[in-house]
Amino acid sequence: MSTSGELPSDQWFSEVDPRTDIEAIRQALAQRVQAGMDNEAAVRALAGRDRVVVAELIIGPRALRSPAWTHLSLAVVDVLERALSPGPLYRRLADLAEDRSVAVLEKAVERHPDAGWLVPLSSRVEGPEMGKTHLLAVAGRASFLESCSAYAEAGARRGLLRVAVQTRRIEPLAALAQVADERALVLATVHLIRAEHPPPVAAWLAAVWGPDPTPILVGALALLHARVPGRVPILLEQSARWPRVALAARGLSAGGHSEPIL
Amino acid sequence: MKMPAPPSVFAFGDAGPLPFLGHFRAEVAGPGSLLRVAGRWGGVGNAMEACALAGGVEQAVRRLVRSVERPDDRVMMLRGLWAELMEMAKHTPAAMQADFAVLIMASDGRGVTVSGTGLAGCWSATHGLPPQPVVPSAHPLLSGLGMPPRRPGGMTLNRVPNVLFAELRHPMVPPRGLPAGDLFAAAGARR
Repeated sequence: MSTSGELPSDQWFSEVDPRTDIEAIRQALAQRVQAGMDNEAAVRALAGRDRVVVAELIIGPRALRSPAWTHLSLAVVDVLERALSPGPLYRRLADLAEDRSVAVLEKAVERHPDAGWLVPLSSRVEGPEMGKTHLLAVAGRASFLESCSAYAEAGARRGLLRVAVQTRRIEPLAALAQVADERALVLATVHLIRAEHPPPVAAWLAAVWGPDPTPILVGALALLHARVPGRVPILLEQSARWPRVALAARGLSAGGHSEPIL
Repeated sequence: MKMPAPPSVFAFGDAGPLPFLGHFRAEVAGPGSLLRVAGRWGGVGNAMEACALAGGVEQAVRRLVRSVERPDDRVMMLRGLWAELMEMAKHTPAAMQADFAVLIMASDGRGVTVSGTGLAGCWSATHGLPPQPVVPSAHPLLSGLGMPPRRPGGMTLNRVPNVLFAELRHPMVPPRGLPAGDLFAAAGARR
């Protein structure tokens, strides 16, 4: 075995037979990864001879699990995509990556920003915050609304709220309106009104929910009144078109209760 | 004979991600009269511009009782609203008027009259019965989009339904007909 110190060299990988020496290759790669060596060139060269073996090594049942291994996997993910369809590939990579699975999701979004399988992958990786990574990355794309809708349909709520606040875009609200989630829209309204520079959220609601979004605005009013009363005037200013919102505000100021939306 | 309750009025949302951009819905009660409207104005603008125009129509409806001489007369209420809308149109850029569409219902102790412009379809619904077209497709109530040059006529209903639904014409999308599913939700009036 030609080695660099005690570790197998790149040359060694070109001399072994990928199929018959797969266990030796696995061991050599593990040693080099553990030693912090750059393995990308060696793996790419190996893939040029047998990409199925490379896939077996990197994402097969006996694949290693470590941050360095995840790093290597993502560096050669284009090679892996030639051996396996991307949906199952990234799901497997995310499972192997464990606490670095967000890096896998980011890579998947980078390479396949409009893929439908990103929704279940995001759910697997981000749990209740599903949608956040993907939607923030594709906010500038024409498919943004479509992507928001896909997540809303799949049950994403917290992730959509975060995206609404961070992007100050109407699409996450439109997606929540499409699935008729009044409670999520109330929360989104509250978060947007609390932002440093609130967008015209009441006008947005009228465009996505219906010409009379009073129930949503009153729900948001009640929450703001309880938690951040200093932001109530902003909501009222935006809601001037709907007189019952101001009426509800007067009721709250007088010690009354709002409609129990939440 | 006691008049039946006047119908509620709703307009279905448009196709696309912002189905209610520029949509308005309002009502005002006079002495023995009631006027209800649903429509769209300013849907070619952004959300704030559309909201401002739609809100302007709703305000015009609400102040109608004070601005017409005979607020107890449904015909006078209708004429008053058309006059208000046409006056508003004079101060609105032409580009923002292109998608104007409205269904108006006015009632008093003597009957119920509907008027409108820019309607692709109009259906009546009565409890327990499937929606029925109010007029045939060639009826003048189903006119083109935009503020009409002259005040449109009104049509008195022989039978008073519970609800009137309107499909508004769209500058870009052909009419789709009666939506499937919950008609109230399709009109942005979730119950």
